[in-house]
Amino acid sequence: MQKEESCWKQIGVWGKEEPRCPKLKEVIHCRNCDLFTQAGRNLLERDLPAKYKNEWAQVLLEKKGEDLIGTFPVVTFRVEGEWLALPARLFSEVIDKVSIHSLPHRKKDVLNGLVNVHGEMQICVSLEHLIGLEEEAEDTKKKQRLHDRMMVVSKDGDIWVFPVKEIHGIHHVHPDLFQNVPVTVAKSKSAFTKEIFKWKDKHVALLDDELLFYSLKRSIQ
Amino acid sequence: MLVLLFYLGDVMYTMKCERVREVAPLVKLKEIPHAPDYFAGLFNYRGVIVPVIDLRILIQGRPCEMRLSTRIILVDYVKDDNTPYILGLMAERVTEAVKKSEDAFVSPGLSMQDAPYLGDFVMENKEIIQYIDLDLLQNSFKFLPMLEGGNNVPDDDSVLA
Repeated sequence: MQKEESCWKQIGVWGKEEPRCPKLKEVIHCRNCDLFTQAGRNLLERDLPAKYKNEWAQVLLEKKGEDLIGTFPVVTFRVEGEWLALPARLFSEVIDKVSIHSLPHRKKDVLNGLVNVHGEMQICVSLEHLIGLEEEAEDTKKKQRLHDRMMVVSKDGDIWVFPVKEIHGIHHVHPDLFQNVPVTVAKSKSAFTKEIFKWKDKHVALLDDELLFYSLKRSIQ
Repeated sequence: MLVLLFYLGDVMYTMKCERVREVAPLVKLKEIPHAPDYFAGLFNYRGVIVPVIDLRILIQGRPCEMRLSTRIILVDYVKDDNTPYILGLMAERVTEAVKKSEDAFVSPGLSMQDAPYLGDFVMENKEIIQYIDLDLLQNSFKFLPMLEGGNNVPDDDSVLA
């Protein structure tokens, strides 16, 4: 009986037992199967746990906080020691770190070389060089090498790839939460920074994508 | 149009979602003495006192089972003086909402005098599901403040007010 009750863990996608469930061919994944849905529904047919009603009464008497309207999505990522963000609409994908084919007779500067993305050659650039970020200390570098990824962005039809040390993911920010960029910030980094917002305990710099890609284009010519 | 499916005992019923504000879990209700038996009680819904009707008692004469899937459907109404009014309806196995076209509703041409709110029928997987008319339902509760009948669905401004 137990076996039948949780077939998805034995002959379904979460199990390895043979023979496989004959229904899998039709439904592809257990979550599309009526049996699985029904099992989930049956969980709700249990009696109420103690204090359930009181707990929910507490939750429901609170007024709902209103979510901020007008947030927009950004992708936050780390280059060297700095957390940066770009509008999410620019991102096409995140890929594992692949080897970079350097180009002869080019100084290794902003232009890193070429990388192979799904069989197509794309230009790989170095944001840290363009923005002017210092390389982080060797010991922290080692620890976080695991998170190394490459981001593929496309802007006005141009595709750019750049390596990053860490990616947090998509984050929704509201224009009201932006803080001013301090005027005293030295280096060209500030020039590319449009806004600064706080995320957890970190300050993230939202980059000016127009300026950034314009400069990228200039610097590889 | 989105319709909510739920059960009262073994019978499936449905209602249109356009008036449904939220489906809330069961909460502790404040009972009111001398109220009709289908009146389950009151609770504090985000600062507003909301009366809850046990639909199963109303229609079948037996109270809803106290299960996790038994929930309170919060429905928006508009009072005569144009102020919003929220009513809670307790039903069993409130777990699904499906899309139905307007012409999926068929009228059998029957009308029961004691339960005018039990209206048309919807066919779902060859099963006949009776549909509860929320506009007519409110008229069955004499203890409620006067609510406007008809088809006026409260617009968002009045709900937030």
